[in-house]
Amino acid sequence: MQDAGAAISVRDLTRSFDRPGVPGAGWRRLLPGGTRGAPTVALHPVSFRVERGERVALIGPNGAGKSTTIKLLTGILHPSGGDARVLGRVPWRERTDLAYDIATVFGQKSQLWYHLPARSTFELLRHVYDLDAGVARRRVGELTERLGLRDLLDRPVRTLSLGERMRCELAAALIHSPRLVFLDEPTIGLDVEARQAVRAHVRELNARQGTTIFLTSHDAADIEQVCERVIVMQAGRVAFDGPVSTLRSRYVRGRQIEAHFLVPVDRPVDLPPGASLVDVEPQRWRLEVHEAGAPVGPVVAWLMACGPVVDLTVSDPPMEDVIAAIYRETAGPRVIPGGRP
Amino acid sequence: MATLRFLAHYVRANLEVALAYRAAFAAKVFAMVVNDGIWVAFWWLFFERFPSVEGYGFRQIVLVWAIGTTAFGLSSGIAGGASTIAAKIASGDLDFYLVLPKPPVLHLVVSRMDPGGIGDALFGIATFAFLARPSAREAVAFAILVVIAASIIVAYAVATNSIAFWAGRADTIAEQAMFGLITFSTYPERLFSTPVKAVLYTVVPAGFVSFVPVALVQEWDWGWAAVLVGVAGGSLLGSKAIFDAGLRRYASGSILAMRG
Ligand SMILES: Nc1ncnc2c1ncn2[C@@H]1O[C@H](COP(=O)(O)OP(=O)(O)OP(=O)(O)O)[C@@H](O)[C@H]1O
Ligand SMILES: [Mg+2]
Repeated sequence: MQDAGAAISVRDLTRSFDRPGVPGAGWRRLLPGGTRGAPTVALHPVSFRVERGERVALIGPNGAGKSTTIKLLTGILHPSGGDARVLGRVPWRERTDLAYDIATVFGQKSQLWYHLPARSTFELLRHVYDLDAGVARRRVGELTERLGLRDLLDRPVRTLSLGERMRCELAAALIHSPRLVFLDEPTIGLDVEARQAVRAHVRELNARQGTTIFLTSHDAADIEQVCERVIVMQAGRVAFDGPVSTLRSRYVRGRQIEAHFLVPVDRPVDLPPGASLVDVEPQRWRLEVHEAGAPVGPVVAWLMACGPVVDLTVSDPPMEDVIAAIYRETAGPRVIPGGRP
Repeated sequence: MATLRFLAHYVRANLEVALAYRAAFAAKVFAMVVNDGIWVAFWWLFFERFPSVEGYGFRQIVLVWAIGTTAFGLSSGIAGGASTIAAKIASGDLDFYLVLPKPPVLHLVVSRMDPGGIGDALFGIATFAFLARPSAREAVAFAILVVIAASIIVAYAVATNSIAFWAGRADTIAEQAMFGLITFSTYPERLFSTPVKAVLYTVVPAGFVSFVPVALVQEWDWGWAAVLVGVAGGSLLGSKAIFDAGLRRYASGSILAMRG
């Protein structure tokens, strides 16, 4: 796989984890780990490719293998099998060299020194990345400007709010101007405003410097507002890989029609063919037309006949619903190896 | 060189933390000094009554104590992160260090500083200076030897903590192993039989942490000094190799950490 041009190329990557079993009998109880159960397969063979400068979201329900994928691509974990290149390097073999070119942000963990101001962590990171004092100063200045850190840098990190800390966290991750950034649930736990700040900055990073973005999230807006492409994982496999726009049509057929009435209207008894009710309030009905591309004209006409319509909107289902549909699909019987494409 | 500067900045960051909690830090250092002082007072009273035990006098005990406490103090005072490695392997907290440049084991070792260790080191140095009344040559030898001994202790901690890569949880094993090394290092070599000594010059390297340095402070020997430097270098490289071999087995957010 000579894919020096791609930011990330992954081929048949697999990873299993030993499952600690029940302790053995007799003297074997003293052995660490006990008898092993069957290993958990976190990744079945997974393959995909990300070009430089792309913004890709990796989504999927809990336990799908998103974090495992990121940990393999950053060299934190060694794979059970398969091959991967990140910026032309094999992450687990050339981890330290790769570290100069990439950044990793874990939404649930902090790399800032808790008791010190963020500025001290930056200073330490300057030496970790062998940055020139001048270069580092300019870079910190730039990040301070864009992330609005002016009043935060000199306060001990433990006194910062989660959102403020996350902005410092981003700055710490970006201090060495990485060419590729991995973000594992970067907006988890943040309020609306802080989420928007993180998204805006990640977008800007990509627009200004062409930085490749690879993020995981359960938040629909992270995907819609930051990424152009989505990879859906389900039980350790890639179930979908394509533009955000086609994600909708893959998982949710049809469109939604919402009608507002001038006066309350009784709940309908019959529905036009191909439509179903999503939500009914006396003055507002929401319907779904099942087949993508099916004409909505008859349904609109039917609604007009039901009562005095004052407003009518036809729309794609919201991204939340799309994601919910994806997660629902996996929630059924657990995928059996070889059972799904 | 760049590596040394990077290590120095870790120490600086640790000192900044200590400074931010000046009172707590000073209290811990002081508590350790008092704790150590009680021991020396005990030996002092002991030798007042029995001036020599098996040919050992108070000065020998002082040397064993001074070198031991200083070396162990330096190792945990500067490289206190070494003894946290097992817990971090089990909890998956190695992740941060793995995504940074520079060998992760270096980050880990200097990521924490134990104030008690600083207290030990200060006490050890004071004990040596005031109770052993060293000559200039002895003082220079002491300064060099405690640093070498401390690096062997750090290597030992890294190696024993790395067992966690294979055993899942090893913080207690590593702790016991360190405790064993400390215990054997605080008694004179003469007390041990040959088979025990064989162990003390290999798996539990009290010989190189304590016996050899104590002998060398009393009487310099280039041959033994060279052996000691070789052992220190070898064990540092060896422990790093063990750690790096273990990394291939690292499971990150390991659920093993949740087992009782
Ligand atoms: N260290 C580990 N030891 C054992 N099993 C693990 C380990 N890490 C992950 N797994 C298992 O591998 C699978 C994938 O986990 P992973 O953390 O990659 O999921 P995820 O997609 O990131 O989920 P989430 O949305 O909850 O973060 C899960 O079944 C999980 O239980
Ligand atoms: Mg995850």
